[in-house]
Amino acid sequence: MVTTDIGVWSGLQLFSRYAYPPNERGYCGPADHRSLLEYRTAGTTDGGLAQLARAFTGPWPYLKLMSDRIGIGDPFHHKIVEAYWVGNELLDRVGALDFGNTIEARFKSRVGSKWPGMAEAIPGGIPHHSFHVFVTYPWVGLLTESDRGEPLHILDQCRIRWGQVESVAGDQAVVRSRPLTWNGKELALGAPRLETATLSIGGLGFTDPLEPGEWVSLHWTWICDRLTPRQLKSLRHYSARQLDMTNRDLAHPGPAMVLG
Amino acid sequence: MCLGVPGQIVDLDTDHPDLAMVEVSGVARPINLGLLTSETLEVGDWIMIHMGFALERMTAEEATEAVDVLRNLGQGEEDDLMFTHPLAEAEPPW
Repeated sequence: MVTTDIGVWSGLQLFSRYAYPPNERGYCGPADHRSLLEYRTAGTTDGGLAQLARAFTGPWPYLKLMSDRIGIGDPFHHKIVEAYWVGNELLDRVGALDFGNTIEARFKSRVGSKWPGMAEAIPGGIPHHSFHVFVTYPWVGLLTESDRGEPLHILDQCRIRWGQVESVAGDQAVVRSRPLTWNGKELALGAPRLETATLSIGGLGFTDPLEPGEWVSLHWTWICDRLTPRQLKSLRHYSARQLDMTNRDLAHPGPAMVLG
Repeated sequence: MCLGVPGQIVDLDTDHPDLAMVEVSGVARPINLGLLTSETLEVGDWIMIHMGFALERMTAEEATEAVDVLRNLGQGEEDDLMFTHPLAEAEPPW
């Protein structure tokens, strides 16, 4: 089947922006992370980029679910990719039963003994990246089991953050953003603070030149994209939604969580 | 991002007790063992790794099972792709 759907082409480019940072660290996706960056920088989209994107097995179930249920033919369509990483109205069109069944089918065998606890956190979930970070991943559970800082740091870096550019200098930018905090009982967003983020490496990056005042999305230490007002509102909304649900589950754990 | 993967400890860093070299799919990489302070880990032990950290100790049987799950999961999703992805012979839109 051949397509000239511009939505698929731009969707793959968008996917590479957000998938690259963890891929660069070796946390997910194919070993060839530089190709992902080069595709993005060149603005080229072909079967090779599709294959690279397809190798990210974490996002795939969520993208496929939305594609199957919403009637957009390709899981890498721009609207679906945006829904997963940033958020948009497509998320509200996925039924709870379909979502729960997909999560069980795709992840139950991979999380083993953690499944009962994870299953209790599924109701109300949507195929947004924040669900994957705060529910599918084990790090929220490690917050309560360990007094080390790594679980909070990983949760903070792994979610898609948003921030406002303060200054740009070469391959880096200073961004004002709100960090994830943990007070022993619940997660929250702390007061805005400055962080230095990566714009590019050796001139290869994901955004056109940025100006102070622009809003951007961040994943790990990278700036992924500039955010429109609509996208910023969506990212804040769906992130807050998941954070509220996670805190609810922490405050009122189900039987599996209590019994261990 | 991906879920945890099993790996086998091939070397412990005596200068940095939190660090070990762990082999994952034939490639050795540094992994932080700091979250498993209650375990006494040795070369040859299997661990579940996520985001560069060892999260739990595994038996060899558990590791083998996890590898099989990952292998089958990948194959199943490859089958999905072969039937659905339109970019196998796509022409660019310009």
